[in-house]
Amino acid sequence: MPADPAQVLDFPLRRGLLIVAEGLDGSGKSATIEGMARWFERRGRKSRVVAWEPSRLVTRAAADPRARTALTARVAALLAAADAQRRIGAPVARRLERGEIVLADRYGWTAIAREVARGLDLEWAVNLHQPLPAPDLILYHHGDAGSAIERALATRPPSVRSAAVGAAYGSFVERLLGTFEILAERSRTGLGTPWPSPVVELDVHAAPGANARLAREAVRALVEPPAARRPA
Amino acid sequence: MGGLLIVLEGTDRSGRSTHARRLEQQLRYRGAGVTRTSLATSLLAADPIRAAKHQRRMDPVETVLLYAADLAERIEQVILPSLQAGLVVLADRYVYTPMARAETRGVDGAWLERLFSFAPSPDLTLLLDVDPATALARQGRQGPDRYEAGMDLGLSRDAIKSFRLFQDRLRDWFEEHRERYGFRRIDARGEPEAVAALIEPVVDGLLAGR
Repeated sequence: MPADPAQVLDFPLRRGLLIVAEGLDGSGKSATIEGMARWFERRGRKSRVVAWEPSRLVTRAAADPRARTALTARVAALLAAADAQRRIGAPVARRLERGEIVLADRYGWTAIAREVARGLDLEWAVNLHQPLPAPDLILYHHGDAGSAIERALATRPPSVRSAAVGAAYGSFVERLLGTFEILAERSRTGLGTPWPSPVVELDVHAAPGANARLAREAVRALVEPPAARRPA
Repeated sequence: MGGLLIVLEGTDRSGRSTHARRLEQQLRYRGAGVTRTSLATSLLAADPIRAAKHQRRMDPVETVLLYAADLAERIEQVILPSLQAGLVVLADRYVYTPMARAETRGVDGAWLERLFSFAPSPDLTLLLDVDPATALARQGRQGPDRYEAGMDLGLSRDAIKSFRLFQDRLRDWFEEHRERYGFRRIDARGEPEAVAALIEPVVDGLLAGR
C-alpha cells in the first residue's frame, strides 16, 4: 500500500518503537496489531509484527514422558523465559536499536499471567520478564472472563468443550484475568509491570472503531509533537 | 530432622568437583546419607545449555535463565526431597556461579538475586579460592575452553590471557559477595590433601552443631 504523503510520519526514532497488545484470548489483540501495522504503512513506516508463540523448549519437554514430574510450573516458566529471550527479547532489542517499529501480539504480561495462573508468585514472575525490552506502549484489551471463555470454547473441538474441561479452562481464564487486572492497576499507580510503560485500556465491548481510534491516538502521542497532530 | 545443604563454589579449576567427591566419601564413611548434585545435570535444561554453548550463543540473560531452570529442576526433584529425607546434599556450584558469570557479563545483580530467590539458602558455602595462574597450571595441555576463558567478552584474543582476566573478574565477584552470602573462604591453591585438611574442620563444625 503506498504511503499518503500528507500523512507521512517524520519522527526520529532514536531507539525504535515497541507497541504490545495484551489481553485474554479473543479480546481483539490481533485485530488491533494488524490495524496498527496498516496505519503505520499508510504513513510510510514499516513495522514488524512479532507473536508470543508457545515455547519450543517447553513443548519439547512436555512431549518427553520422562519429564512428567520434572516439568513443574517454575521449570516451565524459566525454560519459556530463556526461549523468549532468544526468540523475542534479543531480536526485538536489535530491531529497536536499528530504529525499527515492532508490534507484539502478546508479550510479557501474557507470560506473567499464565505463570501466576499456574501458581507462581506474581512478584517473581514480574521480575522474570524484566529483561525483555520495555514496551513504549501497552494496549491492554480489557474484557470479562465469561465472554472470553465463550469465545475461546466456541472455536475448540467438542471434546474440549465438555463441561469438566470447560470449567477448568474457565477457572484458568479467570486467574489470567485477575493478573491482567493487577498489572493494569499497578501501571495506574506507577508500580513496575515490570516496566514503567504507559498502558492504554481498550474495552473489548466498545463500539467498532472506538478502540482503534484510542490506540492510534496513544501512538500519535508517542511519536508526534503535540502541535503536529491531526485527527487520527 | 532436616538434612544439610553444603555448597562448593569457586572459579574454574579451583578443585570443587575433587573436593565434593572427597567430602562425599568421608561423609558416607561416617554413616551420613549423601546426595551429590552439580551444575547442568538436570533432565530438561542440561541439553539446551550444552546446545547454547555448542552454538556459541552467549546471550547472558538467556544463559542464566537456562541455568536457573536447571537449578530449579534439581532443587525440586533432588535437593529438597533429599533435605526432607535428612540427607546431606553436596552441591558442586549453586546459584552463585551463574550469578557471577551473568553479572560479570553486565546482567543486573538485583534482578539476578530476585530470579534465584526460589533457591533455599545453603547451611554452608565453601568458597574454594585459587588465583588464575594456579588454575591455569591445573589445565594441563588442553587449555581453557572458550566458555571458561570468557572469550565472548572480547577481553583478549588469546585464550590464556582471556582466561586470566575473566577468572579474575569472577574471583572479584565472589570476594565482593563473600559477606553477603556467608561464603567460607578456603585457600585452595595447595595439593588436594592440604585443601581437604582445611575443609574438614569447617564441615565437622557444621555437623557437630546439628
